[in-house]
Amino acid sequence: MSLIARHFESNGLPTLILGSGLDILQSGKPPRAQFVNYPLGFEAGRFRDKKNQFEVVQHALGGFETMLAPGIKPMPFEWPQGWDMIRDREKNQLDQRSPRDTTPQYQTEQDRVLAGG
Amino acid sequence: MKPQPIEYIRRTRENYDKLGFKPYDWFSADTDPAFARITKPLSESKLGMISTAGTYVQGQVAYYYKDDTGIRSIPKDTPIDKIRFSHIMENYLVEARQDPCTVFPIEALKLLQQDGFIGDLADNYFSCMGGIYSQNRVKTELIPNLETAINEQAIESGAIDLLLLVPL
Repeated sequence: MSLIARHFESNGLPTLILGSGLDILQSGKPPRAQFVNYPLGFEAGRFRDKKNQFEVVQHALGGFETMLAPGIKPMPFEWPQGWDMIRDREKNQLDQRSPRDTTPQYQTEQDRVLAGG
Repeated sequence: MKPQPIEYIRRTRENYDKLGFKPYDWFSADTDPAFARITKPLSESKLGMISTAGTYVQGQVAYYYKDDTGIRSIPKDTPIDKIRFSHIMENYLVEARQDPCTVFPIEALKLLQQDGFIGDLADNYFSCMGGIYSQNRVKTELIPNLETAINEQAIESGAIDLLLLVPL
């Protein structure tokens, strides 16, 4: 994502990453990033919590006006219950990613049918 | 106690070693980024968005997991129950597949525009896959695909002033 941000920024378009992988952001040195310390998959807010999602996105976007130099800013949001949820789910599971091939991976069988797949 | 940020790069490297996968080469910048100044307040700006969560709309062809450098256009008024994800890190999408707004903030952006916090929204957002092994293909295929789509949309319905990027 940092590669994409750096590219568009160098074209003169201001970018801002809303991300949850701090070390990944630090490695990529994007122009502007807001770091929310939630598990991956919740970059835009807590599960089924519309108020928190609104607040996270609003706070993040504020970075366009408040960040005056390249950097990664930590956001003031915490979610211990979210980390507990992920920890319980991932217990004893080393890696759950799917095989890498060139078959489209539909979320549902109905999606595949509707896409003519 | 406040949770410390997870070291995803180290953790992924260790997991891949154990699983016998080819090491994933995270992008590591060796120069400072460009920095473009905003030209007007957020409340007067038009915002676009790119998601790297493999986001697609029901009816579109889903992403595949081996270095897919394609993109999808997600209309800003897409009903939330039509938003889908196909991304190699499926274990991070268990909840997002029930509430897509956790990683694709289509609803929050709409509300922020209605409140006047954001001036305007692009007609379409764009998505792509993350976790692509080849940085060269990201540079020579994926980024040009995104750039073309953003430029074409600018001609059709006006240029964006700001770009929000939401990775998975």
